[in-house]
Amino acid sequence: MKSDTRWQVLQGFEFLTHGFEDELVIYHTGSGHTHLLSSLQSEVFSYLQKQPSTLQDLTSYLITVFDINADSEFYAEIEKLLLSLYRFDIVEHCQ
Amino acid sequence: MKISDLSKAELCSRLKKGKFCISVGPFSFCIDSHIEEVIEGLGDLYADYELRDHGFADFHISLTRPKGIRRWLHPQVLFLFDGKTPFKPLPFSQALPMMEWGMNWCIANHMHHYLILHAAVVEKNGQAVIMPGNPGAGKSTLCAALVSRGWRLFSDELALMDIDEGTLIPVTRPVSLKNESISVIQTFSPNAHLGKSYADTTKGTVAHMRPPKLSVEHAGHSAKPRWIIAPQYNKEISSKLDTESMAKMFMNLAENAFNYHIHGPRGFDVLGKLVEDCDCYTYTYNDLDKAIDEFEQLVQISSHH
Amino acid sequence: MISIMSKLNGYLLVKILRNSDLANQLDLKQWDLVIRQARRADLLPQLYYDLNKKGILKALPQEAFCHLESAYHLSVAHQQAVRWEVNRIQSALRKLEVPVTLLKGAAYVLADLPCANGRLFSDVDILVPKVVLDEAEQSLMAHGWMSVDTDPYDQRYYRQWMHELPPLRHVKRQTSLDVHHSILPETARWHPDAKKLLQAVKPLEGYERLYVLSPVDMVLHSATHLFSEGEIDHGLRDLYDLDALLRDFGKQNDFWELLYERAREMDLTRPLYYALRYTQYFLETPVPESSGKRVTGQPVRALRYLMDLLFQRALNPDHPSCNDAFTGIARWLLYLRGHYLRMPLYLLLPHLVRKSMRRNEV
Repeated sequence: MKSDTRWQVLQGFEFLTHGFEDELVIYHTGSGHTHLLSSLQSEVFSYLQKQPSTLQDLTSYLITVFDINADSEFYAEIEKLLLSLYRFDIVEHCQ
Repeated sequence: MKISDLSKAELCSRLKKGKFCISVGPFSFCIDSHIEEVIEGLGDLYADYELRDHGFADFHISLTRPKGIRRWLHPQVLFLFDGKTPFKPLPFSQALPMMEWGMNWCIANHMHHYLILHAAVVEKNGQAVIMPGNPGAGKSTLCAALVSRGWRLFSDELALMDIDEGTLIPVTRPVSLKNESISVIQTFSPNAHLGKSYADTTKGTVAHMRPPKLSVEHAGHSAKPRWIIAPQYNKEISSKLDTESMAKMFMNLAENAFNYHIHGPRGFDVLGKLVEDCDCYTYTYNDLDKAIDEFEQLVQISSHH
Repeated sequence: MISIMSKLNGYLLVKILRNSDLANQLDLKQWDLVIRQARRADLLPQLYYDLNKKGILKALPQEAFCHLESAYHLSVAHQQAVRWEVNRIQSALRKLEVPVTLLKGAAYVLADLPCANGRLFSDVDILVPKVVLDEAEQSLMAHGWMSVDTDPYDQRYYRQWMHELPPLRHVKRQTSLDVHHSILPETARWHPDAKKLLQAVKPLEGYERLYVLSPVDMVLHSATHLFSEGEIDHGLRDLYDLDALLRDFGKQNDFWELLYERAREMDLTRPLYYALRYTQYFLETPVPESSGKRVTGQPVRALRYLMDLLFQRALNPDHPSCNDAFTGIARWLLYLRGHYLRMPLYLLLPHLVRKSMRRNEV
């Protein structure tokens, strides 16, 4: 993934959410699929809904929110997470 | 008039002429067949069902032998829905299970004014339990056991939900038992009326338990869902009830539903409300007596609140 | 000989489609039949919409209403799926920067046309310029679409002789996509110019590089598709679409003039003739009186008579209650006709032989 690739939530379709305690179920009005998001995935989703972001900026934000030590492993984990949301058609590259 | 009121000759005649129509929960089936197994099976398993006569049927189905060589060489049976075959033929000996599967298919594919989940449903004291489960989880066995101990049968397979009312609708039909479950239920409930066993089907050996008369007679009474309990048969664990997260239960129901994907945003809302309104559990078991006790306890606790 | 136009008969479903007020008069036995005919014809959801428009849905017997409502929910889900499919196709072809023209059902939905209501879909059809066909195919395959048929003969059949790529299917979604470069094969009897079609396409507002055919071309395409196909399994549904398109577009000034002119220009007067003849026959589509003078494409009387015998049967729902002793033969003859219209004899005969051998193998 190029470092300047910007990600955004898929444009043109609404996402419905249902929060159960600390888990989030999300309905994609485009694909018609329903997904269970972990708290980390939910955080990424909410963040990208507000503004598109690069992987770098996103990771920096998450480090602050979850108060984690920044390391390459976490960066790789977030990259994997983004790809999983991409496969669900929830996020896309900015045009 | 009930099926049991018909003589064998009348039953035969009606089926052969396509004038055999029965109510099954909210639905009506008009069945046409010359096949002996089907005629006998219907007379036996559907003895307590009411005959209908008024010219409208939700589903016109037929079980028949294919034309040509498959009439004699490795004979087969075809299921027809209004004259068309939705699936491949099966060996002739499996005509009755094919009818049962075909009837499920009819409902699951054409009744989208309901939300249809893949789950068993039983009811006691006006409160219903939804038991979702993959094949092999043991929901039909548990369902049959509960029904033999006074719980009302709604269905062993199709949980039909009225989307506006949020209630469950009975689709009372014979309970389909597989492999070891057949002998387990025969032992657990010697009074249970089991039909013939059919070997070598794609699901193994299959037999059907006739639904209790009361369940059939009350098929017009809906109930509100109170618990969602996902059963899982386990050789090692006799009885263990654990709370399940609502989100996980939501996904379980959604992934195993017949037509959740058709209802779109509305289905999402309805399912969300369902898991919030019900107590959600997983239930691991291998002891049917303990299972009955566990379920009875839930009803008791609920009555006290 | 009695004029065909006055024989306003028809099976129960056709009667209701023509005049939905009649639905109030049906008894349960008749509802049983209408529902089965409509389901077979893939018109059950449309019945829901028609009766809803007339405000008579709620007055229907509950037994009948359930089926209509169920079909309605199914059609809404289909529409959602088509919109998503088009979105994915757009995404896959974005880098090509070529216009993608939606055809048939997908076009009706994305353009919000009246005939989109209640439509059920089995595939999506798109039209791209022939010159970008290979690139388009590669892009689609890179995004998960695969050729369904890997048989070399079938591949050649489509690529060399037909007007489309072999059907594609998406590996994950299992949805079908047909990519056309024209609306009829190059070997066909009629020769509409694909370039002219593409010059006249209309952009879809709010969608990047997505187009639909112009109104007259949409009608001509629908007519051509129905009256050159061999296997007419949704004849009444296709007539219903045509009827809806004609009623809607017919309100525009000069539409009918333009339609006839365009049919002549595109060598499609014959399918248009049949389209107008049979939409009027089955659904009483209002075709302006004055246009009678401009009816070109009319076949000689003997052929007209024969086509009436065939189409008046084959365009009914393929349901036992709508068949007579000759319906089977009618469908078979139209099947041959469809192939004849698309391929010259020297290609057609070996093709039919091969197809019938294949059928026996399965």
